[in-house]
Amino acid sequence: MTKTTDKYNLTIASIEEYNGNLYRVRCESETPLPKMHAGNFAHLKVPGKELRRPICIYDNDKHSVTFIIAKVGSGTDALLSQNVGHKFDAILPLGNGFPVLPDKTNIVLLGGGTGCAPLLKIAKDNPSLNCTALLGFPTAKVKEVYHDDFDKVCKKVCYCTDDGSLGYHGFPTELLTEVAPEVLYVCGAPGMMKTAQKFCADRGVLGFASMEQRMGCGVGACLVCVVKTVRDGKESMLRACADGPVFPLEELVL
Amino acid sequence: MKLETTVAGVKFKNPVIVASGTFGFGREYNKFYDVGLLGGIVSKGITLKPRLGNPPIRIAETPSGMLNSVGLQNPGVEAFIERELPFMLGLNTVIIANAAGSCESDYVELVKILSDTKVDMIELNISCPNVKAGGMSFGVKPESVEQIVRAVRKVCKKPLIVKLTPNVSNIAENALAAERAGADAVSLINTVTGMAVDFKKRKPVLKVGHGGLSGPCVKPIALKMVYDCYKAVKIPIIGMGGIMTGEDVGEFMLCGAAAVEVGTANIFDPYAALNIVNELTTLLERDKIQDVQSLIGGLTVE
Repeated sequence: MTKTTDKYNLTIASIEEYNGNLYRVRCESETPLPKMHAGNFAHLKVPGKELRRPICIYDNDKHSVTFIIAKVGSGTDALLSQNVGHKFDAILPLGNGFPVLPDKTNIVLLGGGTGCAPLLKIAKDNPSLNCTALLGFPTAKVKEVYHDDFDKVCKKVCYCTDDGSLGYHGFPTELLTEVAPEVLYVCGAPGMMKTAQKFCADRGVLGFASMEQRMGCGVGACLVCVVKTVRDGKESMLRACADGPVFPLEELVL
Repeated sequence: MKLETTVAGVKFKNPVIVASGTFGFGREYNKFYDVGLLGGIVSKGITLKPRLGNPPIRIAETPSGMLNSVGLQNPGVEAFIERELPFMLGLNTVIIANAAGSCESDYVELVKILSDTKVDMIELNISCPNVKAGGMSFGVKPESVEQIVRAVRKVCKKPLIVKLTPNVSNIAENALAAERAGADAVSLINTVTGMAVDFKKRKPVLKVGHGGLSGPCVKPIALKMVYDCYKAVKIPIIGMGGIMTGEDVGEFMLCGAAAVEVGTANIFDPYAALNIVNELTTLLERDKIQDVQSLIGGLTVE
């Protein structure tokens, strides 16, 4: 039996803090890590907690994986309070990932805040897609967690801020009409997801969204992390961990 | 050294069974290890018709445990038999179907259907705290336990396990009621009802308000209830509640359990149930215990 998804021991190699609650955490593994796709996630063991925390794969290579993590509760707080050298285990890679459609060329990556993180690998792993990234942040400082990673792999990047401190002063969704993409990949706040869904429906654009939900096992067994969808008029509760986290935008009940 | 145990005439290769709702139909964990190494697998709770379950958020972390409010989401018995059971029957372990319903006729119809399949046993779920109709409401009063078990017993052609709720005044009376009505075994405990509160939002964390508490925090409650039932009934007991280690299995068996179910531990770690089997093996070797069944009811109370 060949196994790719498994439990791996990780060690924090670097941990950078931005704007008080946003962290870029690079972890190393002595064991070679398996192939990971854009939109996959890892289920991280957190010190002092029983339940694992699902965090998307931001970037990876054979012996390292990088996460962008917001401190949102006691679990992420416990992990982010650790120092370089902290060892923990992670189940990875999990989830279905973003489908890549090689014959499409005008691609938009629409992200908000930490929601930008799962999008990077779409452009990085598929240079022929010529992605345009429309990335929104409350303020310029938050963007810094991403360094200039998107600029290196995308054809064009438009940074947008709520306070006008960087790039376009407003929401990235306001720029969608101008770019007129064939395919849209989105991850962000519910408002952004809803606007993206309407945009795709109105213009017949193919859209995919990465969803977040409170999670249990992470592997598809416990049915905790469900997302409501409708396909061909039939309502379903699909598992974010195993059926997702990426879903066709048109099927999501947002 | 013998790891085998017997419950209601059914032989298990070891006493570690995985609990309903934490293991799906075995597919997911079989990607991590051969789940045929486990004593048995209890299916996700099955109902007559498909159920979508409760709206999310369905989980909350609590000190040494968790709350869930999944609400019996399942594909229904027809899809279970067509799509899931053939896979389960190929797993080389004891397969137990967990049967749930919202009224007596549903339970009877469902058990009738499951009796004509190749499942090894049926676990009657009259203890789910997360559904509005049925579920736990059948399992609270001894009289209603007796009534539903009696009705199901008439049509049940498989060894029948009755899964009991701890949210009662005296669980031993409910175990006795199940025994009187013809149950072949009882399993306990299902989850303890509970709440988690988000102080900032001034709302319950779970969308439906409350859920079922499980994990190491409930283990002392479960041990006492297994012990109380062991003193009361003659039928075998499957013990569960916060089992995380091989030694936990031993503790439940000392209190009277003939086998155990491991639930929440699977959610915390995909290898948990396998690790528990291995730990139990090491423990028996260490303490030179020849037969795991010699532990059953072996507790000395001064």
